[in-house]
Amino acid sequence: MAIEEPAAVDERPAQRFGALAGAGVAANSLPVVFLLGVAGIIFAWGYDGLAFALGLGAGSSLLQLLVAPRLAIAKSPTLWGYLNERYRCRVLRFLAAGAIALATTMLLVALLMLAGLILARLTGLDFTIAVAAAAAATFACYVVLNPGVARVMGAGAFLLLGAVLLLIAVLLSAQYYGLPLPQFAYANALWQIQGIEEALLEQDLADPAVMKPLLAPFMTLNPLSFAGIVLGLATGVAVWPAVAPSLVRTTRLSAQRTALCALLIVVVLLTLLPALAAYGRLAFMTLMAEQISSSGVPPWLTAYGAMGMAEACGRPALDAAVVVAACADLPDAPTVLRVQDISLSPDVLTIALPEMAGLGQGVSIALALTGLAAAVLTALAPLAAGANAVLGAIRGWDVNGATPRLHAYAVGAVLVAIAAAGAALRPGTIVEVGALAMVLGAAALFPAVVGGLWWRRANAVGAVAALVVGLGLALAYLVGAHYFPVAFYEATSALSAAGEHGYEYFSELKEVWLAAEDAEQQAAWIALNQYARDIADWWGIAPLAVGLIALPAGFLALIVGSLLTSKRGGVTSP
Amino acid sequence: MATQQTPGARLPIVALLSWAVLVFAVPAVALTLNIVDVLAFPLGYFMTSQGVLLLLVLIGWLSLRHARKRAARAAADG
Repeated sequence: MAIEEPAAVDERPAQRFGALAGAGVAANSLPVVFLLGVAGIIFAWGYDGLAFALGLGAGSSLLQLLVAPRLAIAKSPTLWGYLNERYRCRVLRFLAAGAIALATTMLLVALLMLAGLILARLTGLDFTIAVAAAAAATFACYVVLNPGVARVMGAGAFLLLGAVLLLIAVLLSAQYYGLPLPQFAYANALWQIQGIEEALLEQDLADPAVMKPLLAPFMTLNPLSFAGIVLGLATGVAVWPAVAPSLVRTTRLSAQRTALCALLIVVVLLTLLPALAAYGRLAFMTLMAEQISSSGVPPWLTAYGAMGMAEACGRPALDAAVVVAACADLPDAPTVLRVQDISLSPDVLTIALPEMAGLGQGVSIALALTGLAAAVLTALAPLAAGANAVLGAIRGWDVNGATPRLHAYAVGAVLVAIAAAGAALRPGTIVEVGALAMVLGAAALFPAVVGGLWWRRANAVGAVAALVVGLGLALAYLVGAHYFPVAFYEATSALSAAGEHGYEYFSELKEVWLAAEDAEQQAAWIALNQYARDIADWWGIAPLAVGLIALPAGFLALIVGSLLTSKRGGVTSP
Repeated sequence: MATQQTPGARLPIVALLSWAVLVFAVPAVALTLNIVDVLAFPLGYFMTSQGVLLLLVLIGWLSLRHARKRAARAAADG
């Protein structure tokens, strides 16, 4: 098939600026929430946390192989514009705008949570006030900076943050093993951690139930959920609305080259994150192996405890006195702190790493400042993507810079306000919220975008069906299993991985609840609801792995809808 | 703007199949692969944390090279 494409008359400028454009794409396809959060998830989940790093890298690869070559020659500068241009459907225009606004606002929630945490750590502000300040700074940048400058500054801040993370990994590798090549040196840390953890288990200073080994797979997730998280993140990155403006209206080869540069940058950074997680785990386990008493908790732990991000013996580790009191109140009051007594939020592992490993105040502050700048500046692209999609749907414009800025500011202000309110509520860990944004974006957009790019018979009916079915299923699964687990489980118990034993125990709990009265009924309901939340799933698929259900359903809807309503030969080319 | 007929992008089926195998199959067999050590890492862990990502870069580079060759051939054919 031959298609019209802008001539690649002179590819040299594109080659020269390929790396710079690649950095712009990388800054949006690897959001800062993951760059600063995935190490914490690997720290907490062990091997299974690698699903996030793998999914993000696989997404950048999918972008280069599947999306960039065709999206490059789209006339519209935005993903929403591309869908509008390809399908020319009023319903799809509104649905796509809603889906893009939902996904990008959720990522904004995660970015504002991250910026708020860093700001609270730097200044001592209350988290809610810090989130409000970060939101105000984001909106101010959105108003002051034009989109091109914002993209360059975002890419610059992203690269600077990557350089600081690389510096930390190099310093730790040199400090621990005398080898300043973190991607190789941390192999030693993995074995050292395994040795320390085994010693802690032998000394009863660790509970096997809370230990998630770095080397053993599927201790936190089952294999299906691991694959589902990878799939959801990969497809989410491939059609992420904030990436499209850096790839469209160029040549196919140029877009592929830019995406390859982005993939290279993303891979270099992603391979650092397991090393940072291992060094964090090594510092933490070494501290536990020193058999410190509850009065000897390090200052970094109480600093994060004051922010509500670290607990000791089940209570926020506000200071040494609180930790001593909390541990003394335990039924099996420990003489020295055990691994299960300390809980550090995955959100702060990377930010706390320089302090945990004793790298000094300067490195900590450099990491916090670059992290804050990158979080605020890289929030501008998803904000612009969400605002442009909403504006385009409302006004029916193909947003290409001619939009009155005042309208864009108004929509941007609403989206930032919603995101700030969401961030202040701390709906989950930063990585989970960011991943949810990607997964919802994928469920809604991936079938319609990929179908539009590669299948000539894909039409508006199919695209609308794919979006509604994909996003609808994903939302039903996420909301149903989390907020209405009892009803969700009762309606779909045949699909649950809990099996007959699970159903029997659920029935027993339900009978207890129905028979209980007054105060006992409330306690019985809590027990029933909690158990239902544990077993309310389909085939054991974790909420973040919902892409395994939504994506096949979306593609099926696209194919059936398109075939039933299109005439053979009456096709539109991408 | 000047335009010319260039070969349209073809669905890179081989690259996508390789992508799927690397991304889904390799982590699934990590426990088995961990029996072997490479660069002091258990192989399964190494592949999931670094190896697969590096191979994805290789696939991307090969795919771009293939696309360039097709474009050059099409240009030479007029």
